[in-house]
Amino acid sequence: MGKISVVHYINQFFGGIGGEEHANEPVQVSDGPVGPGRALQQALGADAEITATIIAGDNYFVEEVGLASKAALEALRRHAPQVIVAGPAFDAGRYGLACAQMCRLAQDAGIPAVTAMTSDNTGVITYGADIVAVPSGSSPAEMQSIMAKLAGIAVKMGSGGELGPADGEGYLPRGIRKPLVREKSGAIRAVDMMEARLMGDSFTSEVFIKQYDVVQPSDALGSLKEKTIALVTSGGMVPRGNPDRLSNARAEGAFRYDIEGVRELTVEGWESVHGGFNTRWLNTKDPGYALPLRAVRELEEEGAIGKIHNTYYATTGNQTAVTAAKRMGGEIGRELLNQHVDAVLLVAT
Amino acid sequence: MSALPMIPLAVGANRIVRGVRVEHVCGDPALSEEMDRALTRRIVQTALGALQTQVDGPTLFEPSEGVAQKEAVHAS
Amino acid sequence: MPLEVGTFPVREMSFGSQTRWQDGILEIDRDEILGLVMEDPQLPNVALDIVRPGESVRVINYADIVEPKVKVDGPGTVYPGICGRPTTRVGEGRTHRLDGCAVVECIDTGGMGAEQGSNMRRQSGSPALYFDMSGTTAVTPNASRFGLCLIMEAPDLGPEDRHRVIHSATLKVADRLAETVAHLEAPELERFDLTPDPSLQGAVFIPHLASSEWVAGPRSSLGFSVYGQTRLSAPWLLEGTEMLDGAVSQGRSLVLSNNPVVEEMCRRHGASFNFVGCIIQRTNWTMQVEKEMAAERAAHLASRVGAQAAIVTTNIRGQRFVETVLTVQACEQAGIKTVLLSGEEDPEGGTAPPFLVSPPELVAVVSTGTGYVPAFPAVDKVVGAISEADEQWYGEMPAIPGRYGAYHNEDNYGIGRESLVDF
Repeated sequence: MGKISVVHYINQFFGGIGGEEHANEPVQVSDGPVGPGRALQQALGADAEITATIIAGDNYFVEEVGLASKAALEALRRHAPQVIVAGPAFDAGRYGLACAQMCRLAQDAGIPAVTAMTSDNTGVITYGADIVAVPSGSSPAEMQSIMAKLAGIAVKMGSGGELGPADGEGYLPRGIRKPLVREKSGAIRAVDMMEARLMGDSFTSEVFIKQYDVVQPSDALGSLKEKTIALVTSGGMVPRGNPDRLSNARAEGAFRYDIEGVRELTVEGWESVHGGFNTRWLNTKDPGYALPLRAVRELEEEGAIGKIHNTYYATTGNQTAVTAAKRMGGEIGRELLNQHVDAVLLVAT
Repeated sequence: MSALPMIPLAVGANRIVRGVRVEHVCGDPALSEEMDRALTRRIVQTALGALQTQVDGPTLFEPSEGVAQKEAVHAS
Repeated sequence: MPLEVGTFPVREMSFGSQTRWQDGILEIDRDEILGLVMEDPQLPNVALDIVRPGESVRVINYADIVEPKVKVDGPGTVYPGICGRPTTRVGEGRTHRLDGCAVVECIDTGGMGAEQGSNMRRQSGSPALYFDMSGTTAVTPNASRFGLCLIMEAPDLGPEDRHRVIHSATLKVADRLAETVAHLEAPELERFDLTPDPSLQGAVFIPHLASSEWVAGPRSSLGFSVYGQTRLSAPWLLEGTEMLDGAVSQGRSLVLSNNPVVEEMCRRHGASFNFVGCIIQRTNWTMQVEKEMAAERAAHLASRVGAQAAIVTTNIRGQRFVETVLTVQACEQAGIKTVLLSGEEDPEGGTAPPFLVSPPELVAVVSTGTGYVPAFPAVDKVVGAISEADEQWYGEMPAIPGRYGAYHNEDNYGIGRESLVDF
């Protein structure tokens, strides 16, 4: 097997050009390793060779995305490496972001890439799901050990190998979970882990906690007197007889029902088909508990709000897949925006 | 509007109003009809108030006695 | 007082001229068992069949699966409190059990109509309708055991009476089978003495058990029970040995009474920690503040019994997972080091997080996977219908996605080794 060819990406500081004042340096390419690239080459040993180093100012790479990408891609085409190594960026946020972008660029061009930075670096926070990043501390004093880790992963990827689980290979989890048959049963592992905690021994949790997406809050509305409010419910509230056959669980979509001129939802006219809780009160006393139309109509009549949107949306929030919920929410949101609705009251069950 | 605010808070809904119970989020059938309707109105008013409140992230609004007054101020 | 458990392995099960266990072979007198069950005139129709691990068989209509056990010394009966059995506290003395076999309760609702049948399943908290005995889809604990399928036509009765009639029949058969080894010397004997050692720290097991109260009311006998109680109550404190005698049962009786976490904690008691109790936490509260209170009570109880660590599980997720996570939080805040043992949600290609809610206190988690089951192949034999099973059951069936609500292969207590790992 021939040597794996590697292209290394570093910023203006590590590239020896200068400090903060050179953060706008455009992309330049040098042959062979530069600066800390020598430590990387040493770690790579005889298996791989850094054929070129791409250097760019942190600001340039992040702000002049178009030009920077063009120049970087041109360099990748010319040198045709089998793997890219970017950084390490340690705790430098813009450098981390630039490294992450470099990795994504390379991956889009079909070249595997690996970088290193702190686990809370902006580069990880923004692009963590898309890149392979070795976690580091903040100090360049650990350069040697980080380069050793980067080299190991780079050689594996560069020779066409598949990366194993994050914990084993030493990179940050990307929120991709795959089945694995472990050595011992879950019960034994649980008692083992509990014992470790009691003894103060180290242990590794089997679930890397991943949160949901962060959604920017929309700005507060001013007066509601001219505003249109739409109603949405996941309480499975539909016209009696469930004409569209809304499912009582695992719904894939929402249905739209006309409430123009309807003052309130009555037990005679409406029902909940939700299969996840006791719908007795909704179906024999007041469907309004899951869609408070009467109360909102009163406020509409009093002039507290402009008007209620003529259509309400109903789905069943029982065992719904996250993907389906996201899609539904997006569809409903876009539809309502197109119809100039200002706000939504969503009753969740 | 949720009877289990822990869930929308975790999922990242930004404006959340606490409801009563999963089975009857916007009211309480244990109350007299008059008090139940007053409660529903309070919950809805809290929701409208939330729409008019600037938030930085997931925020829980509690329906409270003070809402009716607040609403009067905002609606003017 | 300690509990001795005598285990009698079953390596072959067949119908024969008498009901007897000898050297690992369980022989069953079919007529005797049928006669025993038919003593109840309210059962319209009954059939028996045997299923063996590795056979190309699909069992349908199954509602519960009960391991034959019997108290040979000490107070109470196994599976106490249900179906009119005494509620006397168990977990002491000696219990004999048949290992590797179980009575499979199958309820043929064919005569009831589809909607009524599915309502019946919902009321009693029945597991998935079917399981396979061989191949890649033999993923449930049932597949590794010989099963005596007690197939009963659902009597035309209200839900409480129906459950009493059916489950009593199952218990009668389980009792009869266990009786075969009541007076024999056990090939394997294990002794569990949970007396605390003052030099060791304490640990509790906190299983969350959904209550059927929301659909069947507080006095119902349906669903997961603690000494026959199914209501949404404050937590019950049990000894581990009580669980081994079946104090927590119905719905998933086999797994609940052979809980691997309980067994392992019993075995390691006195070595690295004291197994100071099981806190049976009921779930299905529908108000956030009620869930928070329940969690605080569990943590308080754990502290008071001397626990410095806990293993927490749940048996249905969805909004009940909120209870489970609140318990973990309350325990951690009380200084009790907690491990959550749970199945996780389908990652949906990276879109969905492993859990519904993930507060920072979830630092120690053991995952039993998503419960995904691959597509089911066609099978040679279908057991569980009184007469001929519908043709569709013999054929291929779609894969079952792993996630909350897909109950086919939920591993709530870590019986298997399936898990997931981050890439």
